[in-house]
Amino acid sequence: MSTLRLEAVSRWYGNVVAVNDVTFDVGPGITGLLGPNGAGKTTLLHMMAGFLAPNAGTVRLDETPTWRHPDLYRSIGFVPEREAVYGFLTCRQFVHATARLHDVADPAAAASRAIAMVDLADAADRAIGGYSKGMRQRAKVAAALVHDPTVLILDEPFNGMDPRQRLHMMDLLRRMAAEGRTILFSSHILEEVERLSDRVLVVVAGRLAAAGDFRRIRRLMTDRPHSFTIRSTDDRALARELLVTPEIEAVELHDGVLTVRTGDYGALTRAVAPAAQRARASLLELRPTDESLESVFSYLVRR
Amino acid sequence: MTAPPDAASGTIYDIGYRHYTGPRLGRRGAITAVIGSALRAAFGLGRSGRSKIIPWGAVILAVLPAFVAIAVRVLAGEILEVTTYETYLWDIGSLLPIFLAAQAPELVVNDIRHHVLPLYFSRPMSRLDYVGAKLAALSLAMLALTLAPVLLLFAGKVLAAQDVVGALGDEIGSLPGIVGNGVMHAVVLAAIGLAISCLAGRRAYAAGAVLALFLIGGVIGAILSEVGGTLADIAPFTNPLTILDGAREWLFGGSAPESPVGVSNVPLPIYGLATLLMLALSSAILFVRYRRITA
Amino acid sequence: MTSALVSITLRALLNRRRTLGLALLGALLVVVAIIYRLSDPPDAQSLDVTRRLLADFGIGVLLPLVAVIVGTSAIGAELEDGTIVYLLARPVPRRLIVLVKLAISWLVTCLLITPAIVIAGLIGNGDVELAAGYAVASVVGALEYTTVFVALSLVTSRALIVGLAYVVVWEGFVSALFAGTRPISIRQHALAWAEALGGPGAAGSADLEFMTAVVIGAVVVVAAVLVAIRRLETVELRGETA
Repeated sequence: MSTLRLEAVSRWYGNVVAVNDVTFDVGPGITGLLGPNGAGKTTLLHMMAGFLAPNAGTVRLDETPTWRHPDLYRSIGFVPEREAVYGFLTCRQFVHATARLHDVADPAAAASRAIAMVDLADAADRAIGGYSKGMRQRAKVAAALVHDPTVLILDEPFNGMDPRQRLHMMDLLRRMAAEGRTILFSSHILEEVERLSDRVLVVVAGRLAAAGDFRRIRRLMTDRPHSFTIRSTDDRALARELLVTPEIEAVELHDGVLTVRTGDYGALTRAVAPAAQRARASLLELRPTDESLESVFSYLVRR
Repeated sequence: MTAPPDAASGTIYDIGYRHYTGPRLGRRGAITAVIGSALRAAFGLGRSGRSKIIPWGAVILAVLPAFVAIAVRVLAGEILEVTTYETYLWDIGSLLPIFLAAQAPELVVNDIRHHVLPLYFSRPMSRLDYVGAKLAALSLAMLALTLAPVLLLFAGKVLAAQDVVGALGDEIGSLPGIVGNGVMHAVVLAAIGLAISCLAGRRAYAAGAVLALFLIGGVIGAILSEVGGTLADIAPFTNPLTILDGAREWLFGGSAPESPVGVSNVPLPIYGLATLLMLALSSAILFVRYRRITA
Repeated sequence: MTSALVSITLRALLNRRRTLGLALLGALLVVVAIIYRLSDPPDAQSLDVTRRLLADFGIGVLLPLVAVIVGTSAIGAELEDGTIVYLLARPVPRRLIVLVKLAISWLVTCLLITPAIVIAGLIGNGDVELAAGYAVASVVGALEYTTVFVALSLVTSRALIVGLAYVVVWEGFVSALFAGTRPISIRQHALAWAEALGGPGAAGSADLEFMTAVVIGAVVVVAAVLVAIRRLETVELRGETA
């Protein structure tokens, strides 16, 4: 059980501030790091993995600072974003050499295990140089897993993977999280984060914009009304009925799509069914238009 | 208020883009644009100060002997001959590979490395046009070292004389040789530099390869020409600069005292042939490389 | 741990096309010696010509050229490509990484240069003492060049260009004109070893006292190693764009 702990961390390059006074903990389980390109995700991950020194604040794994403590790599596995690998090695040689660099007791067995975990056994004896993007990505993950780390840091791990590989990798990460490991991955693809993580950290322009369960984050954003689209057998009648409900702030019927906005999440869910009954319409669909991580995210980015 | 984008119907908003419908410059415009930007690259214009050090340093050092010669001429008259039209390029010889090694890769390596060639070839310019434009630009840039200083020396000699018109009459005969030799050096060296550079994966490796060719050729040539005999005969052909010097001597006369050409017994036209061969080989490499490149 | 480091470094350095090119450069030295020998030169001359071949071509051009390319790609190329992360994200002391990389680039440079020097020396004149002296000079020179270039590649991302400029401008140009700069020319350090060990045939190789060359050379090597270790211990890896 390990915890990555950032306290008041800032990092700048010249006069560009990449990370600005960020404080958070990452404990066991899967955490997604979310942010638009250039938000400082990679800088944060590299500081956590000990490849960058924070200009201010501290980055620790449990009690040890990650900067200039190569010993910590016994418990950290890191998957960089850059695609570069030793193209002249086979995946097995690469993972095996990594195991030896980690002084793993039985490097050959550890390599085979790690390669099997990423489902690359069939191609393991081919040079990585000839791999597709997704295969390279998995070879990198295998190398990061070979020493059985308690902390796994992955920078854009799903880049270049096809949907099947993506599902497989998500499964793998979930399994590892269930074993009590601390897993942190970055992404700008919201769907991935939404499907995988219990917890998100949202960074925007170098600052931590939100942290926690994203549905809960959404609910905290009370200054912005929730909006829903509704499909029913009689949208117009339903709209009229909904309009008389005081908690509903706006009803819009535009191009055959009925959209309602409310500041009170619960009130709307309670009001819809009676309104439909009064309008003698059957509800076909009630869908929050912005409950997705996407809308949470775009809200935070815009604020 | 603009309507929110909705799923039911797609809309493309007119946000005022104007399409260009006027005449286009076409192939000629594309070629001049490439020549222009390559010329800027060759002298580090529009780039950081650090990338101007080598090209401008080389140009300044190349011009320096001409200035010194003119100054000596003005102060001391015709007693002392610092340098002549014939030997000038041989004397500044070590600057040419340095300029070439530093700047030829600038023109071609990154276009290949960063896969931007399709952007060129999707314009009305062919692969051959691209190569030709780069070669023209680097040749023009090389003229700053192979022609400009000698022309300066020419102008200085004429203007420093008491009788300017008479001096012009005396010196004008050298002008075809000066121009011809400058252009020959510029074009052949540019072709060699580009041919080596287009094969390298990184600018630094290209620079190393170009330098290696001239360094190694120069050292071997110097040693062999001191050995004497048959080896001294072939010594000039180890170094492109000596071959060019031989061709110059064949075409325009006058020998450079320290050049291995002097101790070699090979007939001068052979140097002309070897020069053509270097040009042909370099062009062939460029041609094949750019025809096969899939970007 | 060390063996894995050694095998990765060796394969990275040897697995590339340019190693073949560099080996061809060494072969060129031998070819020139053979051509010279075939011209059936007088004995009196051959010692001097062979010495010049080994000094001007072998030590003066081949050695720095090979060392600058091998030395700057041992760590520099990995930094540029980003593969260095696969060595740094390991519980391996950075000191060890630097020392292994240095040792391997030294070894590779020697493998590419020293046999060519020995063979060319033996073919050119057959004077074993001369060939041996220059062989030692190439090994010592390779150590100093590669350490300096490895350190340089950790200081600047344009190490190869800077290294080439040092070789061509400083060692080739400046130290030919200004004798006072010769004590800080690696070429002169190597040549001093050749002169000291190469027997009578090697006389006049260097313009430097042997002890001066040894002391300055040792200081340069130690300083370069320390700089390299220090730089790798504090090297920062940014993302793709940096």
